Amino acid sequence: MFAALRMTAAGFLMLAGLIGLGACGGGGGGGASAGTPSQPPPTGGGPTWTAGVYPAASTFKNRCEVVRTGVDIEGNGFPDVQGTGVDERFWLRSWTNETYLWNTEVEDRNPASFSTRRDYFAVLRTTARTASGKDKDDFHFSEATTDYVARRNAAPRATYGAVITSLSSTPPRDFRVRYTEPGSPASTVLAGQPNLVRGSRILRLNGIDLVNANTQSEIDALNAALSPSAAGVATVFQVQDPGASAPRTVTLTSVSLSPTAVNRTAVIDGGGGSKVGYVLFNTFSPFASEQQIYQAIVDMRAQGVSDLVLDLRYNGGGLLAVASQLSYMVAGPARTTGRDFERLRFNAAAGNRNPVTGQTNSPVPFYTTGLGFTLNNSVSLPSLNLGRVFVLSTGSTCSASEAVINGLRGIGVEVVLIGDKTCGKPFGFYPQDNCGETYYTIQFQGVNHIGFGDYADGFIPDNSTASFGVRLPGCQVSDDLTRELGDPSERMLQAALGFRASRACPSLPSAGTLGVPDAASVSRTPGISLELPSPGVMDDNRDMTMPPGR
Amino acid sequence: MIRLTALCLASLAMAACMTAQPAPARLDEMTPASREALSRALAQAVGRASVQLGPLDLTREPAISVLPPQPGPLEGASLAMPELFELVVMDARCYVRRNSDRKLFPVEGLTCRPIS
Repeated sequence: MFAALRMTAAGFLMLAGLIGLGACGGGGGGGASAGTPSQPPPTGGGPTWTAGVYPAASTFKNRCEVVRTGVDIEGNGFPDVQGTGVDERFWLRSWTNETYLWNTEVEDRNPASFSTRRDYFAVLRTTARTASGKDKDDFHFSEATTDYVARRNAAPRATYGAVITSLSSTPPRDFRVRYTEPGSPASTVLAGQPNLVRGSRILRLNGIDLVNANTQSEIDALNAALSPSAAGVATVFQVQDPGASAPRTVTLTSVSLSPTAVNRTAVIDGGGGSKVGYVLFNTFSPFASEQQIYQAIVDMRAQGVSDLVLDLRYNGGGLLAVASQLSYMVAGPARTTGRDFERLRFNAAAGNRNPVTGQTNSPVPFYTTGLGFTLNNSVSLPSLNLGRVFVLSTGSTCSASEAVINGLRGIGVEVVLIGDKTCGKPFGFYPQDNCGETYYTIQFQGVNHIGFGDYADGFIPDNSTASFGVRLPGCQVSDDLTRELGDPSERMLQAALGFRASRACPSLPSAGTLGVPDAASVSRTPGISLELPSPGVMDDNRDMTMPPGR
Repeated sequence: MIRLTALCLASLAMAACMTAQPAPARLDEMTPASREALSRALAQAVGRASVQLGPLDLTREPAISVLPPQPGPLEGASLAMPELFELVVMDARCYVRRNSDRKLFPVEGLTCRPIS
């Protein structure tokens, strides 16, 4: 089911979990099959549609065609009462009118003219486009609530602890290690050699040629090896490291492991006695992210850094509250006191009320203490008191990561962007269950202290050739798989340090000369595609881009 | 003697008045049983079948955080926040008090004492 929710920007994932060879079909799960809206059966005594008149959504809430009984896996009972499919669609209509950000751009259609809740939900969105021509709303879908709840309760998955990216999924395939998780089998060092390093190309798994295999049985075996079903599965990897003349072989045994939010930190000599902090922050999602980013900044402060490079290139977002805490810790009290990190802009009809919670629409402040996720709320946050921060970015830099950029800009902190265009998601939502289906529809836009939030085409470095996007000082630089993250010679970090020194974008060698072949330049023959699985819980890429057709 | 008795009675009355107000409390020790008792009361307070607690040291501080449901993997801009409570004692009974509305929820099977 979740494979159907695959995200277009997600080209990598924890080397674990489900491999989705050809598993990219349509919807399913929870709703009736999609189809063309058809004429409804007589509605009897059910609700009737009057164009432009919207009864309160609460009128129809939990009135279900199929009533759930018992409790869910969290032990909570279901609120369902007997209703009809038409009731469910009327709820969708009113709920959209009440909470959808662009509710006035949704054509009012008779719910009884559609045959399923999914059909109907699919049209409850704007069809407008951004300046660049992409859909204004490219995150609008639903899934079975059982899947939604199961995923958030999932145990850590079996993994080797390497995040893999696919440069080519058809022969000759090119699968590379993007980074490894600290304390994992992949990052374990034996005789001075980490089992896997950033940029390692996977050549064989258990003796099977990953690069050229082209039979279904081989693909199945590769899938099984890439996605251990449990901890304790041993797999033989043949890999070639960047710059190495010969491959090497390592055996990794899978473990159950959750991704680490702060993957690594470093303090780099900035010249003239100055120190530059580096933090690879990969996700705002797990509650542990609060404590981990706190500890990272404590360490940076203790070491006296005067500049900070925040590596958010793989950070798809998560908890906005932690994004606020991080921003406070960068900027400090003098710049944040009395200012808002982010204000939530709901539809106009909501006024000063959050139409989802019913409460007053209060801004997200710059939090100055722990909030109780994993840091006690009696703990005061440290701050670096910086007027400038360097952010390393790619298209996977999304949502809460972009909120940090925007929130800091809103209080006058200079954000220098090094890398590529961010994904452009100033929007958010509250997933909402009704009758066993969980709906995602955009409900708010985040804007900063000065009211800016129009970055749906992303933030881009100033020298980018892109036509659209909000330009920030900085340099367009592609990701560099030939150097470890945090290595001052890794191209994006190198560019940040160079820009810091000269306010100019340094001339850097291309990827090809640094050892990663240009996948697009390699001759290819048609063959079976080996697809990396969809990201699992909290892996990465909370990019809200949905695949075409969803 | 009469004056002494009156003084004692006045002191007792004053003490009674004082304990009629909830006061921040702590535990002598945090045991699995006390954590379970707390979790039961807090689950009732937030209307969920079960809860996960954030960082706490109730032997020193009364603060308690109830974690929200873990955001799903597609929630890149999640507004989820812990719900904050405080352990309090009133009339020798333990309660958790919700910070947002000061509402009290009794904690059965727990012994706590005021923080002095």
